[in-house]
Amino acid sequence: MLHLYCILPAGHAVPDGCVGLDAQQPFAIQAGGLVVWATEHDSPVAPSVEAVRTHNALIAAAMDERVTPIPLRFGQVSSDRDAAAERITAEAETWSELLGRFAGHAEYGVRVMSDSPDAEQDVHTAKSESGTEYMASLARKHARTTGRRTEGERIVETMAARVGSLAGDTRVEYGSADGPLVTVAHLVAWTAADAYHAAMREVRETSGDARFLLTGPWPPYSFVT
Amino acid sequence: MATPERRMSNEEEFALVDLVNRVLDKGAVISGDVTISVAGVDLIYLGLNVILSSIESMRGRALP
Repeated sequence: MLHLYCILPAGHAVPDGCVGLDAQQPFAIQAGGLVVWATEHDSPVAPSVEAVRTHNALIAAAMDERVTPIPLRFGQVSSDRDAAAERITAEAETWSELLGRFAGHAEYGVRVMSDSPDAEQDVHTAKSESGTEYMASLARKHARTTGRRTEGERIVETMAARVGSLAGDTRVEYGSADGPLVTVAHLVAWTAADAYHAAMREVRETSGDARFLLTGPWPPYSFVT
Repeated sequence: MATPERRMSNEEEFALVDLVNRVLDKGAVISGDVTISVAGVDLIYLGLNVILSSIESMRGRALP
């Protein structure tokens, strides 16, 4: 059984020294003018933090300033090389178009969190014993979700104004009553990375008490879902 | 239980959640089925048309 990692243009062999899941040696399978990187296993690899890190590290090793791989979600398996090649070939045109769009770019993730003190309170009051209290807690939770959405939208607007021209593409996911206010993914050219970081610092400084976590560069996971 | 010195900071934990969400919940899907265990809790069998729950949303549904 093969565990699959990412799709690349033809000719991109796995660099020396790269290691896959369960310490297996990765290899490239040619398919329809493309390659897919894989490792061989006796059974599906169970996800764990370490396995997730290894999966991502191998895909990240395929990235450089000219080529950005199409990352496959963890758990994509194929029975053998022929089956893997057949699957990639079947959608080769789509994958090639994506590789062209991703070339020279990487994904950056922005997670925006609120330090609002009533965040925990809403979660706990939802466990109230009486029906009235329970309904009241639901109403508070709804109001909180609405308020968080508004705050998230305001931050996204600020981001779009300052970062929009630097991002080739953007994905936005708003949070609910708890967790992050909003999670944003930007597809940014390597050549614009410094300007992007500077622009994000400006967004952070003008967004009040909200906390920002900026991660990346990532393979473009959010743009192939 | 981890000692305070060995516990992750909030930022480290969020960065890890960010990684796990990306690798388990995003990324391209090719045809076929996948067998996967999420968060070490259950072994579940999913058709690939079903989107995996993120670890974060699973935490939200978890019992205390």
